[in-house]
Amino acid sequence: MTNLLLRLYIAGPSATSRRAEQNLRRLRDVAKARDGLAVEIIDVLKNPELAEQAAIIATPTLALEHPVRPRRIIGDLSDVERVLDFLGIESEGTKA
Amino acid sequence: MTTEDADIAAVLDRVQTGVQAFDELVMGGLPRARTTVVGGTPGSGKTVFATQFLAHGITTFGENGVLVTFEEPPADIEANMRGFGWELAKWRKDGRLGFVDASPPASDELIIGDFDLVGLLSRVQHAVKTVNAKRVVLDSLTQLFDHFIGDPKILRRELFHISSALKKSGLTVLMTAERNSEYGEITRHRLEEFVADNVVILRNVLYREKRRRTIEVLKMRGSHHAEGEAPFTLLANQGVVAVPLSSLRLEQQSSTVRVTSGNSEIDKMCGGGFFRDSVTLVSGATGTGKTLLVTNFLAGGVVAGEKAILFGYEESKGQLFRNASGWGADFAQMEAAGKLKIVCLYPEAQGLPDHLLTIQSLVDEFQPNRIAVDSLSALERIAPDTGFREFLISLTSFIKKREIAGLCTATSKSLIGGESVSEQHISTLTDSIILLRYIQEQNTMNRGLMVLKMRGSEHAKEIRKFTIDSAGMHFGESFKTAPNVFTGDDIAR
Repeated sequence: MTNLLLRLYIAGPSATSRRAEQNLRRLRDVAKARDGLAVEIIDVLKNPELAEQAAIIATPTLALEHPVRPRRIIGDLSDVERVLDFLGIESEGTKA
Repeated sequence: MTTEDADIAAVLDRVQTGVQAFDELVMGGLPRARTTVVGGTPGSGKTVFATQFLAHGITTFGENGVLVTFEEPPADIEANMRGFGWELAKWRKDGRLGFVDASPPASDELIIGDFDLVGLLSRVQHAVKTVNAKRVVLDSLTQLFDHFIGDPKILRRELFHISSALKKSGLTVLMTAERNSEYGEITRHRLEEFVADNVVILRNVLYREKRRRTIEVLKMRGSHHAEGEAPFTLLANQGVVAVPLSSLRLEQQSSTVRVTSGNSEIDKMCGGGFFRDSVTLVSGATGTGKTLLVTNFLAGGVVAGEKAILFGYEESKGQLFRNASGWGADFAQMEAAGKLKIVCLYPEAQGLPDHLLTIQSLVDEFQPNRIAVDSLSALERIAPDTGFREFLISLTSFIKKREIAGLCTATSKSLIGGESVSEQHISTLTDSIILLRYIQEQNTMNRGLMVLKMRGSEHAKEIRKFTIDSAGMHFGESFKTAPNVFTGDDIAR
């Protein structure tokens, strides 16, 4: 089982930030390998230097930290299936 | 103090850009705590202008800056701007300049749902705090917009948000934006509508195979500004140098001090010589003696203890020296004595604004009492009409401002009579006009000289016959019956 690290960069308590956090929780619930998924949430208002390091422009940004093929999704992640698909994570609904 | 007062005070506080002539166009600089959009086509000098704004703040006013770049990585910009003498890397190390690299990331990216640009804003604010910046540049908005091209509505909202947040912190913001054409919509995606208090346009127009750069202030909220395009040029170690159009103000003092033209007869015809801060135009067909007049003008000044400078655009230095020595003036010796400076340039070597700046900087360096330009017609070849007119206005007002005597020549197209095109532009700008003409009398072709105009002075009205030999110009009688010097028609018939 590979461990995947997902970092979610949000901007304070905005509505889109909250929606993105909720959607990320839903995403973890439906992911097949949920135990292998680590999630970190970073508030760019509190930690602008981390946003600088990661070269964040838009918020929310979900970053899949992967040595070979890093990926990023911008937005409130409202379409969970598409998010999983783009990140290459299988969900429980996916037929084997 | 009411809020209104505060607002007015804030408007009046100006932030100098470092482009001197531009600051004059906008009454001292860009208003503090406002956003200015600088629009221009690719290669029009937006990034140079924007970087200069930061550089000037850092080097001259101790106002630190932040550069947000959406296209080129900071290292590239540092390298590109080194040629203008700006040590971005050093300033960055010294904590006077902050970079925010917002160029598109290398990783795959997808947009799902609503988003904002608070991530970018917080990075900018963090950089501003770190270097205690007063000036911020975003270069360029168009790249940012294209990055999120699928969501134009969100982007407009967010740009507005960023702009107002930065203004609220008292920052003076300059954003660049691309234009598709030199004369069309103000910027691509009409970005300026959402963020700009002020709009400045840089142009790089191709006209008759020549590039002409201009800067125009299109809008300046709550403030006056000069209208129309002002020429500028990009110079190594200086960046953007706008060419001052001194026609904005007619404030030159008029002197009554006379100086010699280098020829006692012409001095007499002019009522005692040229005025010290006047510009005289000598117009005539080829071979009528214009260069001889120039030689006399220069040598006469040097003999009277003055310093003289010549800008020659038709002949080489060697030719000029040979001509002068043929008429008994030793230019080489005068130059060695530091009394004379001869500068020969190909008109095509650079654009007119650069020629003007060359003249200005050499004059300020050499500090001459008199200047000659031979000839304007050669310079006219290389420029569009509007550019040439601006050049003449700037040149004549510069000469007057420095309170030095100027002599310019123009070549008329036809051998007998006829106006040169330069004349049409310059005749209203110069104080005096001397015409040199071929005049036919029966079977001989004579040369005639007349003082057509002498502002603020009496002058001889007759056309004087003259000859040229190895000792120079010799005046004879005036013509008793002369043909019309303008058309060449024989009116005495």
